[in-house]
Amino acid sequence: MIENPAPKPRPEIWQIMAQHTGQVSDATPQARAIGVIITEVTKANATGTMEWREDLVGDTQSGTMASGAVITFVDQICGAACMAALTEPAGFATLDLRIDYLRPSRRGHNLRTKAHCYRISRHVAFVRAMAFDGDSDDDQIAAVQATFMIIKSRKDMLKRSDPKANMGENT
Amino acid sequence: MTGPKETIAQLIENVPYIAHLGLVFNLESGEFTTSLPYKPDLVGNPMLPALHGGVIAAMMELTAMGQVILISGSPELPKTIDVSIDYLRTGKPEATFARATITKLGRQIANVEAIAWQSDPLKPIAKLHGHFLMVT
Repeated sequence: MIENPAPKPRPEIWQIMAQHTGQVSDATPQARAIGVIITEVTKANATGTMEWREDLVGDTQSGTMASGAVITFVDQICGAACMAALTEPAGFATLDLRIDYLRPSRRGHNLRTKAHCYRISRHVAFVRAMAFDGDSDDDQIAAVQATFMIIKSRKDMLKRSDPKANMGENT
Repeated sequence: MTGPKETIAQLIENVPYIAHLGLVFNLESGEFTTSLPYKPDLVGNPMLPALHGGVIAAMMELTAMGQVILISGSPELPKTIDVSIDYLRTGKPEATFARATITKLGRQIANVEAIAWQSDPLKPIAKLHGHFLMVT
């Protein structure tokens, strides 16, 4: 009698992400456009970088990166942390995001963001992130708090634009 | 004191990121609005497809900054202290518009709200609330 080999444990979503960090934000055209790279993923955590670039500057005098580019960057890394917290594949959409600027980033300094999804329920994920313009924890430039809606199916994702489907919530 | 057109031209010159986004400032109609023509690299979710939330946030924030310098009459760039964005609907791959209202203009801080919409102005896709530091 031949015994079936023990089934291989299915890798968790964050493990797949960790193996393909380069591809995670490559799938997002705007992340690619501003040079966002995911560098590290662990369960419910994501780290990424964005290089300082002249065309992304928000003030030519100080050379600080534009707040808008920073928001896109941190949103992307928060989304990755949310994805890394999922136990089964699902879509998600940013519900809200708040960013506090502690100080402007410095000219020529590349940015780094660490995001952690500290709570995920069936429908909502809560993420906190910190952005830095250097390698030290003293180089923090911004603090971020974001909430994501978990979308189980494409049908639910399309429902979001139908006001009757969710009683006016989020529409 | 410079006129609104010169003030906005100076803003565009000081912020290279505005050109990167492709954001257009409209002063002609009496009310100040901005528009963001669609381009493929603004997409955040290619499956839907949907605009990147960060792009919509950036647009509303720059609209808020534009409104601050127009109302305060100071060409100095306001510094963003914090912004909070609520996403209400998916941003479709089409032109987006935004307008901003100053709730309070203090000596140092401006409290501003902005909304963004697409084909229907009565169906906003996102709203922003933020504080800006006015540098004098």
